[in-house]
Amino acid sequence: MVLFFFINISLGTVSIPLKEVFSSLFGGEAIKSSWQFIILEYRLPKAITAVLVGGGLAVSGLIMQTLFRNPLAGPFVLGLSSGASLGVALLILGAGVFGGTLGGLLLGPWSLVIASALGSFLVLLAVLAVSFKVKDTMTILIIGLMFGSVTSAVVSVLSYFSNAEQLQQFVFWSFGTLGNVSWNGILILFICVLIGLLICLSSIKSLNALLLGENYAKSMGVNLKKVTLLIIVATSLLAGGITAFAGPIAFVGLAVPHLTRQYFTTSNHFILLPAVFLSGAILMLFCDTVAQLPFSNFTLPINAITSLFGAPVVIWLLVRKRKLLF
Amino acid sequence: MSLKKSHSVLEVKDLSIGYFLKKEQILISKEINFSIPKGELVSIVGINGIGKSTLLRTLANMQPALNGIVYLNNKNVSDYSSLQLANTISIVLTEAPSSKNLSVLELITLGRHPYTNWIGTLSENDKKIIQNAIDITEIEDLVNYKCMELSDGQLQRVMIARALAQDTPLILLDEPTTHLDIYHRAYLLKLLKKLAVEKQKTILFSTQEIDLAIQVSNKMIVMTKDKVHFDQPNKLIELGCFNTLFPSETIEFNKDLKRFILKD
Repeated sequence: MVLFFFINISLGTVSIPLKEVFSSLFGGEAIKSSWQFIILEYRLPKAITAVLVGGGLAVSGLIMQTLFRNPLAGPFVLGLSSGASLGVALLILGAGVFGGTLGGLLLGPWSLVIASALGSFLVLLAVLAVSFKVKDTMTILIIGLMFGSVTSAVVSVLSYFSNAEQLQQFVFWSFGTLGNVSWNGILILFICVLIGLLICLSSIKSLNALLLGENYAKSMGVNLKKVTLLIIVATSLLAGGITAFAGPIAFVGLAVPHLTRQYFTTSNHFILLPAVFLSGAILMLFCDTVAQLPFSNFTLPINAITSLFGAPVVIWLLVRKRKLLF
Repeated sequence: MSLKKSHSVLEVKDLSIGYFLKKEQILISKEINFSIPKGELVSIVGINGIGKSTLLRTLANMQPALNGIVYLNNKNVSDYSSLQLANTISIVLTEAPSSKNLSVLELITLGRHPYTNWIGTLSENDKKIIQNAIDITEIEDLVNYKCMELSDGQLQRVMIARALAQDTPLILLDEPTTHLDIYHRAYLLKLLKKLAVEKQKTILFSTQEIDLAIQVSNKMIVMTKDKVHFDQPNKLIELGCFNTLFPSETIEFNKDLKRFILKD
């Protein structure tokens, strides 16, 4: 991961000699101050964001799959990303309704983050309310999917009534991005991911017991309601926080746990949890490095790259092993 | 005074079992009374849908009793905390583990869940108990396999080993002999008998193998529509209980052969 981290920082639209990269990273002075600025203010935060985003999404996918005992589960099945999309859509596409100065004010750099966080938080509250009423985890999963379709439908309606410029802005957000996070943003993101991971860590034992099924877990003294609640909260912190800053990044949460399970051939969360975090982080750094298209002036949307590179790998692994380990 | 107290591990008095459906009680079986002392093997038999699994779930406090009380070591089962209960009852269900990617050793180790710290560190004692469970169920050569690589009979033995690793005085098993051939059915019941005798476990299991259950059980719970009987197998045979189990036009219980035979 350290290697990928440095490769990621070293490559970008402006080519900077490797030696200078290191000297600016470790407090020295680079030959050009602009290089140092690019490294410290742009590439380093982006690399850290990539680690947090990739690792966090992958871990939330892992715990969702265990909780729902469903290999198709991922951080976004609870409708969190749709909620975030709705928040952002309401902000960007609805800004036209308010018009003029108010619209301009609403579109500040922080409002996007707040809108998407608010959106996913509201969906989370709805899911939590449901999960108190419904005991069956499979039902919660389907209800999450339903919430997702409702919010996507609202987003479609909003898109239909908005103008081209607003639509473009929204589409760009939905591409996902790692580059627009400031140091302050990283701090907030870091706290979200850290708390989420700590909750996961405290639930490792119960997660392992859940591998036997709900009834067995209960018979071994696992407090099922508490674990369900903890895991949903952890997922929301991880996925919600990440989506707020980096946009809806698909694929990582669903696929990385599967890749890791295939590679380590275990379901033990003591091994899986750190392994999944690292794999997610590495995958994200790699995808981001590719997305920058080194030595050129283009940067591709990160969301496209994760799926473009990740999906064939998963298909290849599944075809080769012929069996989904779960 | 304590000598006068009953030494039953599991005792139920006037128990009614069933479900709540939209706040309405659906009664499945009532007036169930029995008391099982330590180290006894007891089987539950009855026609499909009579409430064998419901009874086991009620005993394990996985669902509430409609009426009556389940006493576990002379204490009401609903007064147990979930952790205390996990130290007293272990279960083997009909459902397979939801992750087939677990190795046999990992699965058995999960049985130590109620005893380990938050991160699941195994003490020497934990390891000893796990090894004992592996030895008595004779699955030493399976420990490194994954669950998906096991046959039904092997998986059933592994699930019993997990219950043993949980180290509880009482073990409940729901239809442990389903899907097994006659050899493995007999092997499994003998294993349960061995656990009851050698390890002084109190074991309660539901089964369709009435013939085998009669041979192996200390006592039997026979659930029929009208009444739930509880006694030693040969006394139940004397009473003619087994003939009330099923509609009589198809099969009949032969007292001398101690088994069911087809009617012409």
